[in-house]
Amino acid sequence: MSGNIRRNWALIAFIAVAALGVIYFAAFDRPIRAKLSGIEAEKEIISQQTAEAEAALEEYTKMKNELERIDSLPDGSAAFMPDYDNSSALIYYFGRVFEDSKPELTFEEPKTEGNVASRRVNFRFAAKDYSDAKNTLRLLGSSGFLSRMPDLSVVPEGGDLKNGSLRVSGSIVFYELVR
Amino acid sequence: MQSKLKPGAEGMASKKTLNLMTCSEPAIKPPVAAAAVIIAALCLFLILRFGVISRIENLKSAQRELEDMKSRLELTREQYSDFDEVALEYLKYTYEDPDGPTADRIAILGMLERQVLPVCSIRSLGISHSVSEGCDILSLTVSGPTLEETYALVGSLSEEPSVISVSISSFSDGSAEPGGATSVTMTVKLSASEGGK
Repeated sequence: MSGNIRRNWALIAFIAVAALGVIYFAAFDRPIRAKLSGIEAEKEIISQQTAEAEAALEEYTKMKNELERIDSLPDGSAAFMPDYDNSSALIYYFGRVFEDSKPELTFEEPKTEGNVASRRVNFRFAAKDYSDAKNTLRLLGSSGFLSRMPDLSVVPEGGDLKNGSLRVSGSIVFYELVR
Repeated sequence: MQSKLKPGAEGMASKKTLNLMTCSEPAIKPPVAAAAVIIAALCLFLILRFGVISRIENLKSAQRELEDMKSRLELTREQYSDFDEVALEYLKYTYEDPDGPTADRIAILGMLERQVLPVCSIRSLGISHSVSEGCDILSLTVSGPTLEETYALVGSLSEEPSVISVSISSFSDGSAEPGGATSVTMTVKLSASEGGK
């Protein structure tokens, strides 16, 4: 009789422990594991985003520092991109550069790429001598507007650069900021 | 053998009282029960400590860590909230054409004044930007130099920091020219950067 009771108690205890184990794993362990793995996945995403944010912050700081350096320069010493459309200011500027000469100017249609429009102007002018030509070219390059002169050709009328008049032609590209 | 005595009859043995007391051992002995209770309590404690409380603490700590990471990220992002405006302002001053930078044209004229004009006269000059080669090309036609002077000119031009290479395309001794002066055509590759070599 007492042996039967022991066996019954043992069976009841085993069933109770097994039931508690199943409940523990189903109702507690599994949800906790799922939550933890969800958190880990989110942490990985956040950590990736943090790395990107830190890289962006580094770039931002670099840009800020460079802008502060430019701000500290004397006025007009740093060339800049004016806002689109700057064509009227350019025409006014060319008027000042070619005051004494009669240039041929061709304005090409601006090409826009991202936030930048590039406006190519082809020029041709006659200079009375080399220093006149050089002076005009210097003025062309120092408009204060961001520009580059991809092509330039200088041909002396008399076959010698240092003597006599010159024919100068080329192109200059001005950049404008499209907001 | 069958008894012929009837119940209650004289001479028949009888039991007048009934002893109901049973003498049995308990199902679980007290010391064993106590040990079982202690072990069960210990198991319960261990399960609660490491299986429940510790897990909940881990979860809370992971959640706290995630919240910290999120707030750090937000803080970092706040620091460059005006990134686009600053980037545009930066672009305004630092934009470089995708075709690559070009050498300062006035600086090139200065180099020709230093190196070429003292030796010979320039009949024509052209500067263009080569996107494929990523450099500027100076095409120069000069008149007057001898072969030795041309050799020296190539050497001195090559020493200029912005010059990548100098090559001679043609040399004419001047016999075909009206003035009889020699004529040399050369191509100079120029780097846009300072000290481009």
